[in-house]
Amino acid sequence: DARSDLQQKLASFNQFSADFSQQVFDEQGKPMQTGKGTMQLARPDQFRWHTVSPDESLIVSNGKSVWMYDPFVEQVSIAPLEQAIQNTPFLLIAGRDGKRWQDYEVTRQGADFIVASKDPSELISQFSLRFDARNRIERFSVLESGGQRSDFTLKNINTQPKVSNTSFTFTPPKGVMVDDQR
Amino acid sequence: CAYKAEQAPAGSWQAQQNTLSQLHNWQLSAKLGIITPDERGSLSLFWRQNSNDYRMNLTNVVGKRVFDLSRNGQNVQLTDSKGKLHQASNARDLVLELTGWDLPVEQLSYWIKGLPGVGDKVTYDAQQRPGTISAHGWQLQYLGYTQIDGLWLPSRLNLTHNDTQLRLAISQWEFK
Repeated sequence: DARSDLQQKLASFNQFSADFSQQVFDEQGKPMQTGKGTMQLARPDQFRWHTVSPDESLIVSNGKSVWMYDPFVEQVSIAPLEQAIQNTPFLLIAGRDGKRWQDYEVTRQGADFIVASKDPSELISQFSLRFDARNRIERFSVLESGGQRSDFTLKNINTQPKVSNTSFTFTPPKGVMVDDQR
Repeated sequence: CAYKAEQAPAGSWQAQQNTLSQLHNWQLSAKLGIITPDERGSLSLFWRQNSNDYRMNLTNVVGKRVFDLSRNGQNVQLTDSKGKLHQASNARDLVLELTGWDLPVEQLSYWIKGLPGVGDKVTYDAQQRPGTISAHGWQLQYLGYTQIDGLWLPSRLNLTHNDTQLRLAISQWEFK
């Protein structure tokens, strides 16, 4: 079924890197915020999400904790993984165990897999994922209950990215406030 | 959309002050930093203004809605991050009550264009553009300008009021 197809596609690669471009749309589909950056992911739950424009920000997960660095206000927040990735696409893309999937219905619509939360109160009501011919994620979207949608398009996808021991760690620069929520 | 600057020398601040005050249909994308004694964070802001009506959409870094504030005539409406709708007649009170953030929404609609309000205390920078404004208990500092279609518009702006500091970095302006 759609669920096992999706899990199989996700399991076909354990790590990848890509350039992303992000476009937010309002409920009438009118474009609002945009963003660009680079991402890297290694299962389980290690990822680096570096937004470069229009403003820099960095999210890094070592699989246990997630650093959210915001240079604009000179602060890094650190949160436990499960709390930080709640309601975000990373929850499903970065995970390896199937346990997280029980809370979601998976259906297929053409090239897109639609992953809908079973809990109606959850704000992110739907993710959608689209794979290219070589089973790599080329696009994913986050649809909110109010109709606001955020599309992420991936380019320069590399399924054998160079991984160094600092790829999924973060050391706060001097002078940055640390807000440790763990 | 062409702009006529009356008698003042072309490109000078006085010449464009009139143009700015007539500029009612615009939209911008910005980063809004909010610093209070117990919280620091920044959000991505999309603001569309049509004369007195506006739509301010604030999302977090992953594109998730934080809140959506809109005004249509006298009706001010805020949709919170859970999708719940709240209504009031005053936007600043509504935002303060629901988020704890003090956002001078009505004044920002002209301050963000670099336009002082009537009676605001203003100092000007070397190019005769507003450098600081103080009004309604707020201190504003214009840290950068950018020129678009011949108009000087703020690109970096700090506002402080009591122990709240707001930082705005405007990355895109668009005029209708």
